Amino acid sequence: MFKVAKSFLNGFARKVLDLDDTVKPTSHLDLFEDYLGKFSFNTNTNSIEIFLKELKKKHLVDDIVVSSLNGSSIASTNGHAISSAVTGAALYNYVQSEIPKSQSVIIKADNWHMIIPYNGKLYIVRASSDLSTIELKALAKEIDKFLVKSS
Amino acid sequence: MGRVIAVVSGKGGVGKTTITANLGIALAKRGLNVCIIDADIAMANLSLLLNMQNSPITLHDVLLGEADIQDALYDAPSGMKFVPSGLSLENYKRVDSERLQSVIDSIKNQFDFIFLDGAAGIEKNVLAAISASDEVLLVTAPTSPSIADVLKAKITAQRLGSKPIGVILNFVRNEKGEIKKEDVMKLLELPVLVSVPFDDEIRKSFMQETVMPVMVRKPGTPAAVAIQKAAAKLAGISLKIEDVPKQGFLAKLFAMFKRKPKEAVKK
Repeated sequence: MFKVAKSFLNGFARKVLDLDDTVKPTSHLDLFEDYLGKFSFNTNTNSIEIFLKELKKKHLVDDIVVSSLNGSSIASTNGHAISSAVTGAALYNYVQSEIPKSQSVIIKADNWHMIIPYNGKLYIVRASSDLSTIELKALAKEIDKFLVKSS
Repeated sequence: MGRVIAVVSGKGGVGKTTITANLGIALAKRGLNVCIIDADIAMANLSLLLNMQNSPITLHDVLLGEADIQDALYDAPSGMKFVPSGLSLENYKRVDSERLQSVIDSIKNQFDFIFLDGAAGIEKNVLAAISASDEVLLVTAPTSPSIADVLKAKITAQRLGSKPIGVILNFVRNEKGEIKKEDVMKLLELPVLVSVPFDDEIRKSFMQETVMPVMVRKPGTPAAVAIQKAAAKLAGISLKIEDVPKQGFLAKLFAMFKRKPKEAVKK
């Protein structure tokens, strides 16, 4: 009973005497809005070039190249698609021949170079930080869905 | 095919595990087939809350390929099923969390709802839980550090192709400095399913001889009532709040001066 009375008096005093001295941190809310503004992307397009550019923003990567398993380029966000596709496919096929169960190839140089196969294609990604296989797979899946839809 | 929902927050300590367990029980009490999985592979706590810490086969064993998921499904309160995670640090280092997707796929048909209690942060194990889910339920406290982290969790879910479906605003005290439900909805562009009031009964859940979630111990307390509302919204079923004591004049007067959100109190 004492506890209940104490809680009641406490609540009463807070309401009547306006003891709640907290204030909503509006500067933080403004910061969050700015932050979210930087991550706006729209993948609702029919153009593969625009789609890949938007995916770069969405997944925070620098380059995406899609190639067939034999190295012919299908789509890319950079001007070196042909050489990237050939090199990426050669590298992946070599690793695959040595380690048949390999699911992805991730190399750290100045940047991170990552290759993942998905649905008969290779997805070659360059970024300043490494993506996990889960993230790479999600990216590949999204591009594959677009390619299937637009074919 | 059941709905697979990851419960994530970005920030730790905002009540993911408590929400997951109690949401699961609330839905199981309505007759739905529910399974909750402790997908916090490194820091498993859900088994402690359900008082099932001695389960011999865990998600670790399943992810290591040493046990079948069917052998890791245990009977939990209110007819719910539960997959515990192991407490062993050694096994944690060995498990392949990327196998979670195929494990979940193999039991999807058995349940109406599968909830994955994710870890804090956005590291590999959290990514695995989000990636294995079709939908993501975000949990946050009404403070800016929690909101900052839940924003990142939402972006991560979108990147992984899992659909954020809503927010549970937890630990609400209705103080002036709290970030309001409307602000959270605007920032996250998601509905707030419910505001769960700060409730001492939740804290006391771990301070019992036999530890049990509040939905089992005291389903009529304000937080438990709020969680039942969230469960009803998730399942699209009508609400039947359990065991809410009828309020007399004095109780109503006391409630006026208690700091809890009006929406959590049964009218």
